[in-house]
Amino acid sequence: MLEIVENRRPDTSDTEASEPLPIELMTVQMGPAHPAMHGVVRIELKLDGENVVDADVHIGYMHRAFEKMSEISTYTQVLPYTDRLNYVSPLINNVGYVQCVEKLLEIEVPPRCQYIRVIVSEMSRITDHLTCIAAMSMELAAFTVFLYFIKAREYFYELVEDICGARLTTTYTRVGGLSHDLPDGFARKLKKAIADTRDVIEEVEGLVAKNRIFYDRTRGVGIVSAEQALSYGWTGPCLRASGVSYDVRRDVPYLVYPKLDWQVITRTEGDTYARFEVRIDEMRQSLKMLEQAVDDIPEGPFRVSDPRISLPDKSQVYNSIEGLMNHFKLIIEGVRVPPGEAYFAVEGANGELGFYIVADGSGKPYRCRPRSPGFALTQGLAPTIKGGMLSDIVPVFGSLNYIAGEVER
Amino acid sequence: MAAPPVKLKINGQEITAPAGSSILETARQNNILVPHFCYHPHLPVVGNCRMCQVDVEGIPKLQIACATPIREGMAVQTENDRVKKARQGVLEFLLINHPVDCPVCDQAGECSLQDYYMKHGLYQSRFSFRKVKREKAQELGPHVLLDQERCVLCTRCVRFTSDVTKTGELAVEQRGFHAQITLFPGRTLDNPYSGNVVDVCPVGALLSKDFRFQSRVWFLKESKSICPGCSRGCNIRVDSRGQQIYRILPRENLDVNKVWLCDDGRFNFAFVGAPDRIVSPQARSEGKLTDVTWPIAMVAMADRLRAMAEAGSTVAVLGSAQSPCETSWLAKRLAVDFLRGGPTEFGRSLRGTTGSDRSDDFLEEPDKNPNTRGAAEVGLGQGSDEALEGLRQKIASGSVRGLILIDFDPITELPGQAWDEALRGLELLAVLKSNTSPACAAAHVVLPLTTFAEQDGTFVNSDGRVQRFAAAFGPVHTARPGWQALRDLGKMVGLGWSYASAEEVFGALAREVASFSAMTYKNLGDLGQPLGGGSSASESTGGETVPAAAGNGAGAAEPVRAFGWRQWSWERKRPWE
Amino acid sequence: MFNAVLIDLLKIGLVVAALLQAASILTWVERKQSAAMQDRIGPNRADILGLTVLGLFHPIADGIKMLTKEDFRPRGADPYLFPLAPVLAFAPAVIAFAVIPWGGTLRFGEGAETWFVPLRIADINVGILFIFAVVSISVYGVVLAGWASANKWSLLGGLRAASQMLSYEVSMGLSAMGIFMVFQSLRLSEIAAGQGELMFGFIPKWGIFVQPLGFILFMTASIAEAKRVPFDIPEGESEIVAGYFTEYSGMKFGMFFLGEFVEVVLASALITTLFLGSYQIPFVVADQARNLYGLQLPGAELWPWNANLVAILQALAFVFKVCVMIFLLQTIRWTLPRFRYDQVMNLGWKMMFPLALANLLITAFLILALS
Repeated sequence: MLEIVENRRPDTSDTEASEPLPIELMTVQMGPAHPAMHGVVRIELKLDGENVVDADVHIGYMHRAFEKMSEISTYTQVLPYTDRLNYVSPLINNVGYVQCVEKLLEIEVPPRCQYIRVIVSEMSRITDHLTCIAAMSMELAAFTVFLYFIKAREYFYELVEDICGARLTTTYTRVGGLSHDLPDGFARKLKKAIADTRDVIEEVEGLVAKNRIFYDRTRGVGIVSAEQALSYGWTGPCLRASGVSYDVRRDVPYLVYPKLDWQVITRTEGDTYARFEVRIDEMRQSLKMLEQAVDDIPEGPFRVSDPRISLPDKSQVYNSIEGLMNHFKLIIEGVRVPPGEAYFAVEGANGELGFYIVADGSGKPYRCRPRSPGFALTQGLAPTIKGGMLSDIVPVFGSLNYIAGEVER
Repeated sequence: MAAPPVKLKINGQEITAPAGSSILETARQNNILVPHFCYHPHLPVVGNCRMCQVDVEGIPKLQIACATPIREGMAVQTENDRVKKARQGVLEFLLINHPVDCPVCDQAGECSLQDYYMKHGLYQSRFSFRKVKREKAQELGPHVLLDQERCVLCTRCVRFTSDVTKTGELAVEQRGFHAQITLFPGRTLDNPYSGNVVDVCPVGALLSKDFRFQSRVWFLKESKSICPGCSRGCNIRVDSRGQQIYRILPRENLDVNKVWLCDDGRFNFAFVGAPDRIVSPQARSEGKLTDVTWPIAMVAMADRLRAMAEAGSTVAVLGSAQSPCETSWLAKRLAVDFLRGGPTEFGRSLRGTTGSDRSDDFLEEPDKNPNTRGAAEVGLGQGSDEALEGLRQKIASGSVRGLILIDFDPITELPGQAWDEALRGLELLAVLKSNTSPACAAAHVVLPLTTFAEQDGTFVNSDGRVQRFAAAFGPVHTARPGWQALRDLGKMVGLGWSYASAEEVFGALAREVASFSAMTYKNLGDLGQPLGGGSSASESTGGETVPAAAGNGAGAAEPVRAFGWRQWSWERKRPWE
Repeated sequence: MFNAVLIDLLKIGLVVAALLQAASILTWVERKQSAAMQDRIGPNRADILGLTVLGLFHPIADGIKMLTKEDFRPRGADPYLFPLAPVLAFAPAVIAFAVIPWGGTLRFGEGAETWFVPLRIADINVGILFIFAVVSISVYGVVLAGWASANKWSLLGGLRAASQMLSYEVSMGLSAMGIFMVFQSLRLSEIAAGQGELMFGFIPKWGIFVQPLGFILFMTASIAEAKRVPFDIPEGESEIVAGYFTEYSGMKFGMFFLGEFVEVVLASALITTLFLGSYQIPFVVADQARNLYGLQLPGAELWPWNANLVAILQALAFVFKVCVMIFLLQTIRWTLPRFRYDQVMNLGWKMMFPLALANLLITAFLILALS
């Protein structure tokens, strides 16, 4: 890389000054050990005072070889790895991954399972947006907003904990269904969480949305036009904040999204404030969807009943050799997926989250590559912060919601 | 075999096959897998498991594919509903009394019952009675245990003892429900090939005492290797995890060992992880051998060699019939190119790595060195006792002042000759060995070498077949392969060797040694080539046999993996299944 | 004479002790108050013999921790200036308290033996200027810390601090100027005494009433001087790591940390002194103490030191007002996001500076008109 060191000397031709002072740009490594970089990314900055002259984003501090590990894991064993992709909304990753495997298997899960998958996806989207805005606000020193939203996120994390026993490492879905059904009283708890979250969102909007300092810090900062956003490959809230109305849930429908009443939120400004607004409004839409889905959810099985895909009942496993062998082979060997390749995209919290899987007929993916929205967002980061001020990096970076888990995989 | 080939259809696919073969055999050749328990290509057909039933057009009842010969115009269905239902029934009967044992069974993961259940079973158990209890872990012999509950009575083991070893220790006793495998009264399963019954058993009934409960099979990494136990050069598969060998299994090579392996070879891997492995290079300093690093030991050795070369002292090289061709050839080159034609010879171990001197007319050879032919072919010497005595005399008389010992210890292997004294008088004694031995005590430099399990290389068996073996894991401790140690030495003394791998050494060897000409690791393949065969020698193993690929279970449906490290395939069958 | 020195030393001891206590308790207040604002519990774990007392032992635990931490100096840091910086940042804030009056005058003895003990350490005629002068020294502490740490983030923090503090000192001085014009003095004791009067007979003549704009400007500027949110850009935690004290740890960091809280107390005390009537209790002056709010104090005749009672009440009132101010500043700190560097400069120079000038002008006209 070329070293950009400008030596600007003041024009001294008509002055007496004998030794003009050379002015050099200051190179600063912002991260990976930096509070705003979440410990996972490094931006090599060239600063002229407080102004960012050049920025170079270095990723890879959280690379975990997801793709390679997938190749030595069975289809089910890949699931826990997907938890760690976007670790703020792990359930969407779970859903996206199994949807892709099911596309290869050419099966459709029962309606109840479809509804549950939509519910957990939207819950995750809300937690993701809450976290994004919370972190962004915290980095703008609005620590109270952070804690309010973390409180709201807690409502949903408790529900997630109810569903699958874990808050982050959910691993809830399975190829052909779910690990288990929703717990008792889930609908009631969810409705309470929805109402409480609405209040918190109102409260936070009051705190920051009309706050002059917050407004000045975000409005007109980090503007990305629709053309630029598309050229970076952006999807999700950031793209919609730039005025492009694209949402996988509406444009390439899957599960029961077409049956629900909701809207795709867009803004035209393309700045940090627009991204903030889109996320806030999308949370409201997700809350609306959750209300409908939890009312409409049908009774029935929550996974397919094919012994080649779903595990047998435990009573069979413990008491008959057939059940034991079935279980043993599914666990050790994995669900055998017929040879082929498939791409399946869901609307992740930050955009189009796609999985591309090549199956070779064995119980392990031959190749498994997630198309993570975060990676595309990251390539827009450097051009967006270039020319701004050092302090602007923080809200821009925050509004792009850099989740190292999915960017670096 | 003079009869003209027969044309038939299996599942609608037109197939031409030699007359007289069975449907199952023909299907296997064409990658159509008919499930079976009792059939084994190297054992007589009995047809008692009924698993291989297929639908033959024109015959009202289903036929067992293993015992039905093909005939002209036959149309066979192996996957129609009748066949599937029949298989399901057979499987259900076999599993009625099968214990719920997978979690504690060594066969789990490579068990025919499991594979067939997932492929052909997939029914829910209807059996709600108590399963019959039988004896578990019944001792059959020094190496083999029998779990009566798991047995499906395919009688492969019985046929192995009666037809292959002809010792007949095993039999089926009782009838019907009570039938079970048993030892002939007063006998134990102690023939020198008893380990093979564990391999032929399609389920987890016959168990290797050595491997039992040691590792789940899917954790093991397979690598293709050659048994270093004797000059037969049986093809083996080394199953390892980390730097430990868990078991050795035979690999099919119809020209060498078919699918069998003697017990001496099967359990011949303790020396790899033995405590007497040389841990670090050593150099003599102030009269004592001290641990040093490789560079220090190598520089010390190279300096001494150069000084001796300048002084005109003769340095001899004593190689070994245990070393692979690559090491022996580089040793020879060193002697020729740098030691100005210093005498070279190689020694032959009496009992080799197995520690056994047993031999027979089946697999075990009297020469317990895997590469006697190879050492001779690369010109290291004759390997005879007389030749070695001649070398000893040269050393004793002082005409040879230095000796490089590779993989061989004349003190223990040639007790009749007074090597102990001779070695003590040397100006330089360099010992390159994997395991420590008395010669090390007299050495000036000791370099740890790898065993067969840690390096790539080639052996030439007593029939002159060049076969290659691959490393199962990286060198233990600080050991290095012999070719690498000699290459570095050659580099230091100015020979300019830059071989990056054993493969490159072998390539150079093949260019210089006529009988190896045109051979490469690639065209040696898994099964090797006869010496002097050149490139024309194919991997063919004879007309009537099953190609190795066909036995791989997954067959042609399995695409070629791009990554070599992904060793373990789910269809973990013995190669002949 | 000897007694006078002793009394002065006593007062100094009292003020310094109270100040340090206040600063360390403020660390607890900050955490506890923010916790209350954010639906949290806040510190509650440090205990002595199982007693937690609302987490009040946390400042002690923090103190022990900071004192026993490794005294780390990064490679490349200036060996002399690096340790000097925290002292320069901490000491001026404490010194400034020397001239702040925190109560009326106590009187002991009778006749020629009477001692008057004014509740302030020093009463100099340029009190407020002394404070500005001393406090501006703390800029050096911050700038030196930024420079001596040999860290680019520290340097950025130091630069930000320098420009911010210098800019806001201007507004701060100008906005206080109105007060001097109203009370015709730079002596803080006179300003304090002046605020005991009443305007139109019922409005206390507090700075906040005579100089409302000045109050807002002064308060804003003093938050900026104390480098608290939303003016914490020199620390700018998420932007420049921790700004000028990035490389400090242990008690050196502790001094910056305490210094910041002392500055909060100082800012509150200054605002109280200049704008919130100092130690004055409305409608209560020493002479009328006998007749508090028209009520005859029971046993007032038996109470010869009633003036002293008033003085003590006034000292308490001062503390109370300071506490209220601190609460206000903390509330602001936990509500607002942070400015950007250029926005701080804009606000300082393009908004506050002209406003302070205008305020000065209007005040001058009004005084002229009213006299």
